[in-house]
Amino acid sequence: MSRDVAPGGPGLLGGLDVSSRWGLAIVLLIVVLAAFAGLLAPEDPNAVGTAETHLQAPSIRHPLGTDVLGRDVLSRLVYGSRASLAVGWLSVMLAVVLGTTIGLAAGIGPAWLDRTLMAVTDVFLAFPRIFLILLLVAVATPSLVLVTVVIGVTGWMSVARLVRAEALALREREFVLAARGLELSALRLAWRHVLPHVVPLILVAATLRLGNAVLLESFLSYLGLGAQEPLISWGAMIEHGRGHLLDAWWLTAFPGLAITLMVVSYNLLGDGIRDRLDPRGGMRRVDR
Amino acid sequence: MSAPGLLTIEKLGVVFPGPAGPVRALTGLDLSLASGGITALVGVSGSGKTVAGLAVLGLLPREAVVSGRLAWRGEPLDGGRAHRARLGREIAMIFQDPGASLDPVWTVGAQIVETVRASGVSHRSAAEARVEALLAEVHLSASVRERYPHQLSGGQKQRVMLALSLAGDPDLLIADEPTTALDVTIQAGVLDTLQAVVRKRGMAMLFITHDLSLVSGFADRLAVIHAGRIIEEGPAESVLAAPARTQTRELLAALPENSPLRDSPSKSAGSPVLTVEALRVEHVHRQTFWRRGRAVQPAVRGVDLTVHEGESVALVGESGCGKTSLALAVTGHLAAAGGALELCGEPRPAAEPARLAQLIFQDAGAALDPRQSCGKAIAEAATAGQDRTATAAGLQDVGLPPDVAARLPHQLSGGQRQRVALARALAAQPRLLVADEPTASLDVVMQARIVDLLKRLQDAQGWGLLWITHDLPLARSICHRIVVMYHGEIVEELPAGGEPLHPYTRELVAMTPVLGERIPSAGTLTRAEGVPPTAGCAFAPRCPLAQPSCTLEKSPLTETAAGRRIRCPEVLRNGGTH
Repeated sequence: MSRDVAPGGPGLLGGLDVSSRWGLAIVLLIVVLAAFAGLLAPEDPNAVGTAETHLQAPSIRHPLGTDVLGRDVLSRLVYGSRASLAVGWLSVMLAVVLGTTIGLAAGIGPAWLDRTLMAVTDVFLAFPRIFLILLLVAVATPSLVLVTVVIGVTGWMSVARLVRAEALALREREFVLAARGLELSALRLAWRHVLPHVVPLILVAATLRLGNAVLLESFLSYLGLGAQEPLISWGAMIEHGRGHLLDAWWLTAFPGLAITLMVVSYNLLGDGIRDRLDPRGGMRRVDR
Repeated sequence: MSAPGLLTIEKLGVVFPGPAGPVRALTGLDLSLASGGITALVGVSGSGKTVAGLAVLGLLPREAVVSGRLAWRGEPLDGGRAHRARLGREIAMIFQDPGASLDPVWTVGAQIVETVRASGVSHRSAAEARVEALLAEVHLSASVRERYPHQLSGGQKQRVMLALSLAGDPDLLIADEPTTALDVTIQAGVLDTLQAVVRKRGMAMLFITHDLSLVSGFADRLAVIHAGRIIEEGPAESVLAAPARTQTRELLAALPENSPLRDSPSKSAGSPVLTVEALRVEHVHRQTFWRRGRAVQPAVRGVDLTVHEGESVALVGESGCGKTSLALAVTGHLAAAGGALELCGEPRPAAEPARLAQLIFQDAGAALDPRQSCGKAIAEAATAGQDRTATAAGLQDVGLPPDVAARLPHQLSGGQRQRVALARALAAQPRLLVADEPTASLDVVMQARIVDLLKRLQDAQGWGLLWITHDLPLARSICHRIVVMYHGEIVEELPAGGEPLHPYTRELVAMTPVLGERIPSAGTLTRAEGVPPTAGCAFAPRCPLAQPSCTLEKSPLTETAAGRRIRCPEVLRNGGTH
């Protein structure tokens, strides 16, 4: 039985199932770690050790071991969450703002604008994203800001298509016709009568894109195109440990686990929000 | 009667848990049906009539709390397995929307065969013969079997539903507003078939509706339901002749045919607010991936129409006649393919909505933004600077308390929503209101109130009203002039009190159920569905007056007297009389 979600119904959290609550809990945990990294990390993440403390296996003193320079892996992991969180959220926000604007303009605007914007979208979609990202990052100086912008600018297409499809359906609805009859401006029409109805869709799409963005950031940092020293990123940590896969597994295993945990949490949360907001999604769940 | 009847309902109570406390849908309903005969269950929306039907079918939602007793031939109906087993075989139902009950990917024939075999006919050939018999019984030709549901008209679909429900030879048929979505001519045919089948089989039928004039022609007994219980019950004639309860009298008084004709407009001969000349509207189906080129489907084929200040004009016609396309074109929501359109003497550019002409929709629930409070909706329509006062005044004008402003549309009743939609349209200070069947989804009592409200507001504010409907008595109770449309063209224009002359208008009048009159027999009606367009008069294939020349040549719309126009050579030949 599908639950009809009325605006102003029970709180969002109230409708989430167990697995997505776990997702939410882990995301919140990572946010707390990132926010209070200075208090929670046992050591200074960039404090270089002596020759004896290099490449130590996990111990009581260093629960996750130390790296080539004798830095505490746990502390670096805690600080590294900042890059993953920030790049994920900011790039997705950028993609959502771009995608929503383009989608609304295409869906509500005149036919020629729709055709033009959708052609642009198709070109972006047809272009290999990784190639585009590598090209841009290689030409410019590598930095996290650049990575964020690039991930955002190459990730808006699916949001734009989603919003356009919904706007096209909404513009035929009678309440939008009634609003047009009041000679409201197109901007007001979009803001007041179309946007509020696509927000749930956007929310779901954005959460499900977060994991993807985190993976891309790690990938780029692994290639050395993202975070630069002394900034810490999980992807960069894996890259540093690459040469010691056999003799110091903890250098790659723990950042890898952290990335996996974050991506899985985002996806669990996204699935949960989709089931909560989309009645059709809810039907599918019961059928399973 | 001491022997147990077919169905006995005693002190039936149904309570639904709701966010704002329990909702008591039925509060001790008593009703018994004998085998054979038609009982009409009549009540306004929210009176519990549909819930009563669902309770008999055992289809109430699980969270409903049921009390009292339901018995079928003396055995209890408790919603359990035994109850469900009776569905289809002993108790069958048809609902308002037949399209929702048919599977779009199977032919009609396959679906009937499936139902027949489920009812115990195991042999393929026996089942085939049964399907033939069932289709003949509901007056459908055998060719319907090969069609898919979307290829059938609403009336045909409802006949298919009837055939499906008859497959198990039930003793009781529950029909919940089965003709509400149909045009009057189609409705008359379906009702005729329905009662013929019930009489011939000696079944019982419980016909649920809000419209007394609809059932007065064929129901044996009437049960009036109000606030979850039966307040009056008896033979149909005696209840109609001497209604004992106020609520029954209210249902009767609300019927449009019982309301007086309207006085001529207070500001007579006001200036025209809407002038339409030779207006054409076409629906263009664009090229698809496979088929190039455009398919053009004309909806309005050259209409001349004028609405003056303070005047109400009804546009009457069946579904598909182009009346809604005309409404959308007049309000600038649809581009005209030709002709001229003027609002208050100013020519309007194509497809540009104007505040001057406001549209009121049939479903106010769809016409109000579900995420916008009613107050904001009205304030948005009002011109800048007078928002707050306009909202309060607007709500007061349509008879709603000020606290409605803070509510969302889904928190209101259907009638209240339509009032809010009206308040919003009027807040834009239009000179023309175009109303597209705004009362079609309301019960008769609510409809009468909205109509009264509209008349009062029009007399006070003086805008012109174009009222679009398929209901001729309703049109007569609101409007000064009536324009009848058929197949995209005006066929007749007459004053509200005038005698209709065009054969189509006369057919509409004859088919409209009127209190206490039997509906006409279906003999003349089977051809009412599916009209082939011809070079000449589009109505000719259905017309009792048609001559061979009618199918060859189109006759012009001719003015016969002041305020009377007609498009029919045969009527004109007889000197403008019938």
